[in-house]
Amino acid sequence: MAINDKNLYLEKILIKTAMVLMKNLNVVVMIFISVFMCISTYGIIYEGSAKEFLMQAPYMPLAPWKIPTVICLGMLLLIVFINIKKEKEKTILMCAIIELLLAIGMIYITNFTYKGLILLIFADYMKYTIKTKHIYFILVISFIIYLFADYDLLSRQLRLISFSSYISYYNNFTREILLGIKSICNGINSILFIVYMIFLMHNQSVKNRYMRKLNNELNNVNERLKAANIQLEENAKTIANMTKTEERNRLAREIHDTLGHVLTGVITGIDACIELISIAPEATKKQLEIIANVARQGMTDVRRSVKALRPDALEKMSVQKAIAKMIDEIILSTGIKINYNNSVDLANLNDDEENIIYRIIQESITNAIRHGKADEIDISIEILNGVIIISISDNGIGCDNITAGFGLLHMKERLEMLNGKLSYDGNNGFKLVAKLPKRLS
Amino acid sequence: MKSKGIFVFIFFILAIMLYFNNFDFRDDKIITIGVFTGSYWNVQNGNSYKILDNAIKKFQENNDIKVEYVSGITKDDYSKWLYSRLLEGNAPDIFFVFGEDFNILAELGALKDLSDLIEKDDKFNTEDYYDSSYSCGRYKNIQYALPYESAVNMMFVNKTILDNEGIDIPNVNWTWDDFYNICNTVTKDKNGDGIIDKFGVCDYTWKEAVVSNGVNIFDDNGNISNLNSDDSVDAITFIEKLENLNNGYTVTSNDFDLGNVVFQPLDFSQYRAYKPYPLRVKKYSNFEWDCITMPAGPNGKNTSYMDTLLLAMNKNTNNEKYVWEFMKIMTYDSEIQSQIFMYSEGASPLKSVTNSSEIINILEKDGNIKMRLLDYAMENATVIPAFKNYNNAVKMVDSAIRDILDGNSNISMSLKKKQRDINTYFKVEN
Repeated sequence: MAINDKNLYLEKILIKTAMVLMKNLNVVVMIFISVFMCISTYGIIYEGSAKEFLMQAPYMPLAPWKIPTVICLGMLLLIVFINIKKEKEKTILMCAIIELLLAIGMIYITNFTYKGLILLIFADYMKYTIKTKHIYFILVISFIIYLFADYDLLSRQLRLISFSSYISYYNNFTREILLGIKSICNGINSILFIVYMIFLMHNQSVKNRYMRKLNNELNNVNERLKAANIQLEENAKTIANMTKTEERNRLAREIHDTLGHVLTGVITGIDACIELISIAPEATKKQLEIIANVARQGMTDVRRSVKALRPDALEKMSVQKAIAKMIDEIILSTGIKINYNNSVDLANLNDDEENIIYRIIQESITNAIRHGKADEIDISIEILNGVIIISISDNGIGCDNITAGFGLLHMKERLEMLNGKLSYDGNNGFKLVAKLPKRLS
Repeated sequence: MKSKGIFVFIFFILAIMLYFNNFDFRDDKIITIGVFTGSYWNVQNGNSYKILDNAIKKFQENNDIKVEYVSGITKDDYSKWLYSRLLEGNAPDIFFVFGEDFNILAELGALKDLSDLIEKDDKFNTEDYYDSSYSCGRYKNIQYALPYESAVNMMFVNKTILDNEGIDIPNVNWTWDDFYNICNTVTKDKNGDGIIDKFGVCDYTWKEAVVSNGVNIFDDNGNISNLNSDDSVDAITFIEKLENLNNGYTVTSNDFDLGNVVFQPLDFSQYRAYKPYPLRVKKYSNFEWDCITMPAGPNGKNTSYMDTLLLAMNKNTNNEKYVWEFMKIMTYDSEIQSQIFMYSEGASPLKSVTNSSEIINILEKDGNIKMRLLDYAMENATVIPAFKNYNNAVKMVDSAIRDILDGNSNISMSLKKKQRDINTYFKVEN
């Protein structure tokens, strides 16, 4: 659904205009009332009716000139507070309370002649209902104040001088005009309030609908994203399988090409030697030397093949450095804390030993991060009675029932090939200990 | 930065508002007083500002403060003038308050509550005043004003008629019975033209009767009227009895002035004004006269109402300390207060002044004023209850009782009905 931007914009302007008009109207009305009270009081004094006026007044009114002064300043303050940009919940509530107190004070000074100020504040705070729920409390209070801020209701309790006591100073014609102006102002204020409220409500409900729509769309996209993710994971698995097959094929080929070739040569040669050995021992000796050379050549080829499977890093630098580099890279790329503590000189280890140490550390870190969600890993390598002990523990979630996956199984197999042992524990994070007897090279 | 600016601005405006609220264009070094010329007691007086000027002089001996007043406001205009100034917000720091205005001004909140000042002032003892005078300045149990000058209602007696009839002047504790008997004796057709021409009493109304029979028609809030109690029925019946002596003729104060009436309740100030020499000749010249206490009813005392001219402090004064000092000089200083007996017609609300032998000597020599009698009357005076609508309420009771006296209905029943009406009136008003 496309939201009708033009209508919404028009509504916004209408709301703003109604608010501005309301503010101006209220300022004008309050100043008008206060000036009217002031002028009427002076009129009453000069006419000599002060005694009659005061005799029916329930309290001493403020000095006449003070009323407009206080009202002008009060209205200025109120408008400033209304116009303050309010973002935080605390600010909004504070301002609301101050504004209500100001309004009540001014309404009291003007003897509850006009209570439209409360509507103004009510209207102003309607738009903050999105920002804080507590504002409903303020709205309810101002609504109650509006209900009860009535001269007829309060004149007895609060000792007020009625608007009509002031107005009785004028002749009938003026009286009617003044009362007319008063009720017209009241009416206009109410109409502005209603217009403001209607459009604000409509505007907000449209916005809400729009938001809901957006939310739904977002949910849909999210669902699709999830599906795509699953697909992607499956693809990755397939690719891994394919790589494995490829690697097997390569190994098979390699074995076939090198070992097969050499062994074939060696077998053929040895067969020939068996035939030849009784006839020509000298020639056989020569032949055997050739066979030995072929076997040696085969050994070199096998070594080459095995080297091709070694990690790249080990190819280029010592295992010591390669492990440090790997850990640094992981720390750098994931931000995980890794405490690496090595007290063993790994310089003169065999390639297969280097390989397995490197692979165990690599696999364990990967597991700790991927499955354990750990953010701190302790790695230590030490040597005890000629056995290299690699312990790796993390602070991750661990796991109760460990189903050894490909990684763990692989590690175990490789270690066992070198007479080593692997043990692990999934309680309190994951802890893995690999023991590898050091061979003398 | 922007929000800081806004808060400074708001603070600034609040400061201005607070300042305006307590601000009046007044000089701290000047005290203004609201006074009037002429006597509060509606008698002639040529010494309007004499006591005030003396008080100002005395005040300025110890305080470097100017004291100002607007002269020339007559007693009749004063009340209106005061209300106008109050409404305009520029009333004097201290002003005289008429008894009848006091309740209204106190209810309005125009007067300063003096309780704190009185309590803190070690040199001020409220017991130095006559209790009745002092409580004239009390409204709803709060002291808003101090008494400056008091006058009680007293019974004026035409001694000449009593002498002719061979009757002695009643003593201080005389009763309604004595009162009625004398009236009954003297009321007669002296010149034999068939019309009564000598009378017992004039201007003795329900107000005097009710109070001397121990009835408070209104409670302190002015809410309930006690109009149909047995004692007030007795009082009204007594008035009716007295009126019946005159055979329907309405006796006026003019009859008293002409020397045809024995008793008339009058203010003590009248006595003060007309008893001493030159003025004595002007009024009541053809008979000897004196004044005594009011007669006591069967359940009451020889008491009567007291009127007091009060001095009150403006609630908005910003010179409270000096105004209080000046108020004390006006109302509490025996030197200034004793001048009331020289330049005014009331009596000092200070017991020590009204009872001082010096004053008694001066006055008794001058006009034979019985100061002991005055002291007695002041001690026993009844204070007009303090509530805002008192004046209206009295008018209502007045006309109600007039109706009852003019009609033939049962007094008790009619009073009950009138009481209901008046209570309804109060309910609407309050």
